[in-house]
Amino acid sequence: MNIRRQALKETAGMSFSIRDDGEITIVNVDGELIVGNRQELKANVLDRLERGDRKFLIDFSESSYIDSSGLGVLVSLSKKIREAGGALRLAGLNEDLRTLFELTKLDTLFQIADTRAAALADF
Amino acid sequence: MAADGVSKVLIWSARDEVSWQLARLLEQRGARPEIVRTASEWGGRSPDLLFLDLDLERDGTEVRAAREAFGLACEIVALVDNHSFEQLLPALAAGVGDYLFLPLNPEEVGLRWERHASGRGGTRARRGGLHEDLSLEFASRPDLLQAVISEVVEACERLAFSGPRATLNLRVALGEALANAVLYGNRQDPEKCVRVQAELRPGEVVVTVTDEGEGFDPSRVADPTLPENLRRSHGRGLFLLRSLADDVRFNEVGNAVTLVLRG
Repeated sequence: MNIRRQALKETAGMSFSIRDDGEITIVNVDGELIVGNRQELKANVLDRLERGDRKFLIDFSESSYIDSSGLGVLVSLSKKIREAGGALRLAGLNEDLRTLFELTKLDTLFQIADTRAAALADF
Repeated sequence: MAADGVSKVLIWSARDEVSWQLARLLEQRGARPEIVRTASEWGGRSPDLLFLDLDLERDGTEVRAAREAFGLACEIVALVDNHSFEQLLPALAAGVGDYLFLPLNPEEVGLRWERHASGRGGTRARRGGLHEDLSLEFASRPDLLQAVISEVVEACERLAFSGPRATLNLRVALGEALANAVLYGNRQDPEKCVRVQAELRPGEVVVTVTDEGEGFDPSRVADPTLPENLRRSHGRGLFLLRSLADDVRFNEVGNAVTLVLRG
């Protein structure tokens, strides 16, 4: 039950980590990308974009759930990164998450790699 | 009320106003509840039905202590408010079979008493494994959504069906219905509540989410998968809900949605 309590707290924040791999900015999503924390992800990525980062990889290997508002934030970030001349890749979607992207046809909008390594090699 | 299945009722709360109100409501229905403020006051009591105020509760500790002292035959009903809501999941895991929201609604208290007195209470129904109704009401706060979703999905896995139909279809569809209710129906007004009523039986879950908003016309929501809408950042919630549930029905006003999912 402690795990669940922690997950509940995470909806208020602290569920992302960002690190650099050369010129690529890697964002790890731990847990869920949902209405309670989507703005945190958006603010972090836009902050990096303003500071000049242009290549972004969002890794969902540790994530099990994205709701429609989370999908919406990814669409919004994709647009802003593209307008700035950058590129966004997604990686590590499990079967359930892939189903959500396919249902909403967002798999046609994003470049999605099976693994982080494959996404990094694709930039 | 002839309490065939329940004869000894104990209320455990450090809040006198809660204890006395509940005791009065139960007495009106023929029960003779006793009240304790601390575990040291349990004495040799052996209640059939315990009302436990979750304001006392920390991670299921008190529930486990009560379960150990009173045995499996004792039905435990949690008393929960928005402040103690976070304690509900640990309490359910530790052995609480049912719960009532504070402030107490006399009609709800009456219904629960009828159920428990006739032996159809929460954990008893679960032991039978046949059917269960869940009724949940929470303030319009996005940070509460995941706890509510988990509660319903866990009940579904226990009583109705498991696998991706529970962890993907129900979880996402219910999540979208709840998010719509909190964000758009009640506009995150914490004074307004969202009500969740779920019927769970083997192979099927029927869950209704009701908000206090003015409702909307679901037929006017655009298809987000059309090429011209694909790059929009909003408008996928209702689509996901409809895609993942077996049946979706709105009431006439548009402030209540009923989802049907089958395993």
